[in-house]
Amino acid sequence: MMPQLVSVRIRNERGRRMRLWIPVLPVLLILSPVLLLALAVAVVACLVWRINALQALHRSWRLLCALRGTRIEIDQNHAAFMFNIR
Amino acid sequence: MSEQRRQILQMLADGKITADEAERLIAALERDQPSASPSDVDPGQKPRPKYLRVVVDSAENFGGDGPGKVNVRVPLQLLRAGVRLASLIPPQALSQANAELAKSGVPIDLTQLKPEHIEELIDHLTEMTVDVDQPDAKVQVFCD
Repeated sequence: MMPQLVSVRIRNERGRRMRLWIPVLPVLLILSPVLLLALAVAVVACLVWRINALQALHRSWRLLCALRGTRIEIDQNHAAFMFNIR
Repeated sequence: MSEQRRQILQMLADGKITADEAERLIAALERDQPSASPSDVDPGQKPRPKYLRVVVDSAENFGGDGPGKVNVRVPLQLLRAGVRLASLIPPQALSQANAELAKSGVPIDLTQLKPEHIEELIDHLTEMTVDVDQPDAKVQVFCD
């Protein structure tokens, strides 16, 4: 299953906080024209390098899906950064 | 490692099936046997880990920037998917990547990293724990 939500939390040294919740599917839909173009370029690159394009796309999709559960938290002094893919 | 998975790897080692076929069979096996419920797990056997964790805890004076904490959790599924994707990279590109890695002081031969070895690698990662204890910092790398 592909990631649904990316959340980012940032706190700077002055204590100001910023939280972002990014829903993946709507962002993908908005970026779909660019993604289609990138997909076309990727398919051409696969053909040039004689790589099975279907297999490459399938495995890239699996890689995207596998990102779910990734979490990175960094705290330094009073600043903090948190990145979470759900 | 399950008996069926072992049989697939044995067939691959005997040359009865190709690497791609073995990968497809293992993927089908994983689909057919989703994560086992706790009651299905052999009590003597540890459950398969899902994540690779890196935890760094540094004290006040470490690096001069105050106390710091790093907590990274990476799904092991990402490792599997990455290795499978990397297996599509042409050998000449892998050789170039190897040369660049060697130049950077990371002598890893990427041509030896094959999808059929990844399950074994992850099985061994389960048993791996790295603990670095210093007076002003603590680093832990483990799977959970």
